Amino acid sequence: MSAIIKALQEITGNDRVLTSPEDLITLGYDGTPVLENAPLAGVIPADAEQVSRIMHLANDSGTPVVPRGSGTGLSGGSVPVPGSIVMLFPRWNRIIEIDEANLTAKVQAGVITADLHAAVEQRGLFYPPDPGSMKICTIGGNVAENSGGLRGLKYGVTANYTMGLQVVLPTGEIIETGNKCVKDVAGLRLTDLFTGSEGILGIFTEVLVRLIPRPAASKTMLATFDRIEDAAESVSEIIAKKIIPCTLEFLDSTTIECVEAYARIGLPSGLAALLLIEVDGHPAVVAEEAEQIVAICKQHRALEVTLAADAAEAERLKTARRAALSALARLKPTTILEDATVPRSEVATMVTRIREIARKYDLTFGNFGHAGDGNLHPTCLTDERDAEEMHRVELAFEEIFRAALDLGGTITGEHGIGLAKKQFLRTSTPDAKMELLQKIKASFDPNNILNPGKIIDSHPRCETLHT
Amino acid sequence: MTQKTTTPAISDEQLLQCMHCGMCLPTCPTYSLTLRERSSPRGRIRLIKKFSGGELGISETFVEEMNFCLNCRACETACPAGVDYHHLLEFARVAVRSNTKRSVLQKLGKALLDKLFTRPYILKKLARVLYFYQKSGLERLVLASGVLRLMPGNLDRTARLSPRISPRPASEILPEKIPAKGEKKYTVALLTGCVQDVSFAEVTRHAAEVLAWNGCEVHVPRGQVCCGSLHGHIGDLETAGALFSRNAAAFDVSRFDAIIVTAAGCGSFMKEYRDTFAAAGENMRQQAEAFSAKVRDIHEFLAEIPLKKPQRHLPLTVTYHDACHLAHAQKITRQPRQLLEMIPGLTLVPLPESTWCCGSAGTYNLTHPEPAFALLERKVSNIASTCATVVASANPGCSIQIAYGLKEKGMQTEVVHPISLLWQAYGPGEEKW
Repeated sequence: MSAIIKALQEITGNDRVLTSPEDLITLGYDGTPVLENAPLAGVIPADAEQVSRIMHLANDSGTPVVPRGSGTGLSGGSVPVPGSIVMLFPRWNRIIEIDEANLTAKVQAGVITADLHAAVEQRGLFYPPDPGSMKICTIGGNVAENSGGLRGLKYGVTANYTMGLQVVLPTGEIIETGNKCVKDVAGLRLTDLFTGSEGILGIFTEVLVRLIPRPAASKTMLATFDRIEDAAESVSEIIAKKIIPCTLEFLDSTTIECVEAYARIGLPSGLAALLLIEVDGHPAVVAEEAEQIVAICKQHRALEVTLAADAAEAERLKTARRAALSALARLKPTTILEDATVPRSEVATMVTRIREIARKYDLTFGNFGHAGDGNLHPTCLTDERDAEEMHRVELAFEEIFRAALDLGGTITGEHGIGLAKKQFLRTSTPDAKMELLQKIKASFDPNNILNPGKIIDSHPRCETLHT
Repeated sequence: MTQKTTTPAISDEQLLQCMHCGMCLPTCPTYSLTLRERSSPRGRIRLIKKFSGGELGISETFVEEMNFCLNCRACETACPAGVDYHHLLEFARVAVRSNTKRSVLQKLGKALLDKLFTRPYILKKLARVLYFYQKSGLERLVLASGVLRLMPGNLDRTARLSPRISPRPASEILPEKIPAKGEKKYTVALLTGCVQDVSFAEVTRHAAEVLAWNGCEVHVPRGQVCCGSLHGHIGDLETAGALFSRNAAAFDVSRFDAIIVTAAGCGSFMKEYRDTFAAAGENMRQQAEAFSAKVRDIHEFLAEIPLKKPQRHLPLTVTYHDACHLAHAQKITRQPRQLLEMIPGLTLVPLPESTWCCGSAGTYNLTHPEPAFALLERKVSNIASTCATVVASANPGCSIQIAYGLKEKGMQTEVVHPISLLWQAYGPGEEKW
């Protein structure tokens, strides 16, 4: 048995160190296609103290550590690097406190996002971030990825609700950032630096989140179109009319068919596009805005606009939308999802560009996404065993990213860089900014021990950018 | 008589269908117990993929994980990508069976399973003995004496789990043909089953009467045997195939509008004969195709035909437990509830986590008592939260397991098949055939 394994067992006890080939194989992936790498071991620390001791051990022995929540990430953030220890948080699922006076909740990092939703909603409160995997993903993972979701347009993303963290630094110190104060300008905003750091700057053990009052009413609508442009124009018009729906989702024909095959919500076949729209807030405002939205969609030649009869039906529609990515996997063996994002005024242009690029490289794409906030999910349906096609897929995505950047957008809206998009980050980021990222990483993690090789390569590269 | 069945093959496509998004994890009972990736559907699929690609052998852990799975198929309901999980699992189980040595106890178990379920007369004889054992008071004496707790294994619990035996098996009570009451609209065949036949005879009888009252001429083919699901699910396709062939001979499928099944597990396995035996010889494949096409769960069938309105008031508070092999395997969740809601006076209250496995899972509660009873406890506390006096359950395995759990907790809640409730509401008179 290797010395590392023995040392881990001394810290956590034998049953909390996983070394069987079956465990290692099943810790080797997350939700990202193709990427896979079995670690050296898995370890389940019992508390922050043990996390700290493991980090000291990692530094002393030069063993990389990769934190993993539920493994649903979409950029390879929790895919092990060779020879690494995967750190797991399966029973870190306690909601420590819901503070109704200060509108905050303090949770252990392994709390499932949907469990937090349920707990706070019982008390008339609301935690808006709702990533597609919310029934299984963890708050710790959400903070690491700065996860978004369907409600981003009106309520923002995880960063907008992260008030404080307990973090174990890569060098083993345990620190706390932030607090329950709405205003706090003492020092740099470290909480914001950690949020979205994809597990390279620290390991989160506790999270303090901001809550808001639960909206009193909501209405969910479904609008269908036989021209994709009509759907895009409806979106622009809704925003132009100063209506901010909490959800404004777009699905194209390929996605609609796959979602229908899975969820059987009764969508007609042959649709070109569909919008799923939800407004929430004061009942009177909700009623008025819903009416306006119906009128706007109809003006833009919607085939049909239907209102969900009740909360259960609304939930069914949203659940179906959350399953869109996985449902697309029905068509082809490999599903490669991206999340190129543009300013919302450019959504229609971007959708057209993606369709042109798909045609140019002769590839099948399903397009869906958060039309309201510009976060699109062009998804390539392909076959990882076909090397020639995979090459075309790479070229197509490069062009898609380029198009997003040209329109003032970004290569990833909510999935992160991880391993999957590292190369695109490098080619699209000026040297000075790249060096700053590297300096930040080095100052937190001098031995490059925590999730190394994610987002950036830690040792500055000499090759010229923009190959 | 027996035809050769071949190991079900799995293709790369089926394995690649899983895009490891993790949507299945929160619905998996075994993952909920261990919170370990390898005990999740996503984890098992990856292990099967590695095994199928030759990168992983059949290790002790591999065997353990494949058998730890309840095959409840909740993951299939949750899977947006449409992964055919049970097919992959059964492939792995067949491989495990043919590559591992079995212990004496396992061999004995298999011999028992083979003998009992392939020879209905032995099962019926044994049932007769059990019936008198239960009826005479001897059973109460034995259980009270505590002698079984001195025996190895879980004999005491196994004994307490043994189903109540009906006075006479359904296959003996029911005539070969029951005429439709009033105008004959359909000709159907009824499966009497194995365990169902000897310990839930009245459910089969109720089903026959409810069908007859609603215009069905009901046939109860002689010579029918166990559907083979108990064997199929543990990877013994040879015996399952032999049983299928005998059923194919007993049921002249072309004569019937439907082959009606009252047990969820049997119905789901029979609907899948066509997939299970797709790789068998041409003759068997065709037979399986024709057979499966006619199989209908009783709730499914009744919900498709115009029904007489039940008149009798049943002032009961009822909750409905979704058997995995109805909800997840056959996607039947609406119909049993619809039938229950037709009953005047009956209040149907929702059961939290109604589609969560009760731990019975075929012979799982005998082979894996610990997880099985952890899941049962979860089920029972959910049932307790509803304050219902009756749990409706449409699978013999679930009914036995849940009744045991309720009794252990000292609860008075009864477990009844939905069709028996419907039968009561029709105002039963003892039919004389």
